[in-house]
Amino acid sequence: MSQEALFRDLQLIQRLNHMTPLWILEDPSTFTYAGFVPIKTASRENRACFLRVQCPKGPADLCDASYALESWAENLISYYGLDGALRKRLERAHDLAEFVAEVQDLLERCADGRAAVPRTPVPPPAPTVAGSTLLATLPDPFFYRRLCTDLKHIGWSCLRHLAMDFESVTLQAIDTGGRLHELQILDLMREQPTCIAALPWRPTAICRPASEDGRLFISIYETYRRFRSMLDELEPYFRVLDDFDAHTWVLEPEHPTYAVSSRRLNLAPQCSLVVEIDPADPCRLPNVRFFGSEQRIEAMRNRFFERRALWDSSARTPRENLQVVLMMALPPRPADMMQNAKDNECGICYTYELEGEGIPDWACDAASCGRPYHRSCLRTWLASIPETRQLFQMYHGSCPYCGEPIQVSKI
Amino acid sequence: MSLVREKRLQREWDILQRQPPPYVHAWPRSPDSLEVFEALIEGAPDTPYAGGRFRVEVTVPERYPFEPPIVRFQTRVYHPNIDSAGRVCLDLLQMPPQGSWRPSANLIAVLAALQQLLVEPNPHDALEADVARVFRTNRAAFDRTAREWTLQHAQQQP
Repeated sequence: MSQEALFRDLQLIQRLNHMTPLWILEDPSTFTYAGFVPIKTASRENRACFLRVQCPKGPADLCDASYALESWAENLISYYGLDGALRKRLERAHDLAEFVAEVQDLLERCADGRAAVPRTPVPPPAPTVAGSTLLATLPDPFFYRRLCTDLKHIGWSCLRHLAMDFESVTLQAIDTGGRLHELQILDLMREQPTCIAALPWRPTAICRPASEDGRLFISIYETYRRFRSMLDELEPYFRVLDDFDAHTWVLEPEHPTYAVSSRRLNLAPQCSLVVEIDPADPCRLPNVRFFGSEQRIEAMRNRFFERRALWDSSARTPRENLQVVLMMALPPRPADMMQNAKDNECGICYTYELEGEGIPDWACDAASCGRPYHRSCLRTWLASIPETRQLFQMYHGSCPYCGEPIQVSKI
Repeated sequence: MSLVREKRLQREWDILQRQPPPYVHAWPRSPDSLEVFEALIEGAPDTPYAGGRFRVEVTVPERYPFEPPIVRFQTRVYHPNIDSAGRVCLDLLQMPPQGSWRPSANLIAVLAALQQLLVEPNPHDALEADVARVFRTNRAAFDRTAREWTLQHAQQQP
């Protein structure tokens, strides 16, 4: 092959690969080229068709050229009666690249059903070749290029994990307070990828047009940048939760994360308080709910509502404000957690943390008893005995331990 | 097995191992299930049952602890509240309103109550009317028969 021919050949391969990937000169002696024709259908279902073209007079003269398509594509074209048209296009094409574009055009029309249906309809064949169905799931090559550039921009050190099939990626970020956060993006190749992070707000996947045809692809870089600015915005929220988690006795969640914006704090034996922190304004007076026997929590609840004007979000942290308003120190987490679990376990199932029920959230109101229960456990017991009365969606019965009256909702 | 029942039985078995009630030994019948317990209750000294070892089978019902355990003596006992089939009449083992079962009771409490029943029979709520009559009218005869039965049935080593 002359040098000029070789150069021309390289140019052609380059042009082909610019349009469609993976084109090679399979056999230089017979000018046999092989590669894939990407097919984008209206349903945006990507597919590729293997095409081999043999042009004995070289790629610039397709007079005596012959081609071979994958069988499903061949069947599709013959179903629409376009074999002749394709043949003619091959002869008319100036070079191989033009022909590949023609094949692509024709197949896309057939796949979308835009081609005229022939008079003798034969059911359209489904792609059956194993190779072609696999190819159908592969995304645009642009996707991979974009993925690599994005990761390079973000910095490889921030990459925690990338799935083998490129379906998901996990990135990490350290916020201004030195906390480590993770961002997981699932379904990277879908139009709507999902983001997961242990934050009160769900980060959104940001999509940008990727290729020239305006198709949207996720921009991991943009998504990560948005995630980082969300971390900056949440910095005060992280500080407030850290303060609670470090200095108070958090009963729930058992393993606190930033995803959960409420904390259940132990105030005294069998008395607790749920504080709901607003991630957007973490220092302001939060919504609170008291738990425990009415006699024990009544005074604390009254104090909270009488003195809540003393809440000063600029001068003190919410934890300090709570101590001022309640006029009491919030007890710290004890070293021996087993003892706590035993003191606060449900009087019926003997468990502190019951799967699906959480920790005991109900208690006998009698001051001498105060026995904690899971609502569901108490409900089951009261429903099993005939003494229990039902009134206004409530079961009225007696505490299994002290016999004093106790109520629990029926639902 | 319901979650509540499973969790609770595990805890009760822990307690039974660490702090069993006096004169009571109990263990699960099969090592991998806490559905049926076997217990050995020793007769307290100064009672006609002294020196006896009474085998008891405790079956935990599906709805436990919302229903009481089912108890049966495997050893013959001469007692007004225990019949010849080993059934026991004890209000703790009955659901309200007839009985006084509550989830605040547990296997430990039941076994302790059985042991106490051997100390203090309750002739007013008898299962064996004849035994109850003897108990009320001729305490010496009752004690003698109870001691004989204990020697005869409750002496063998488990």
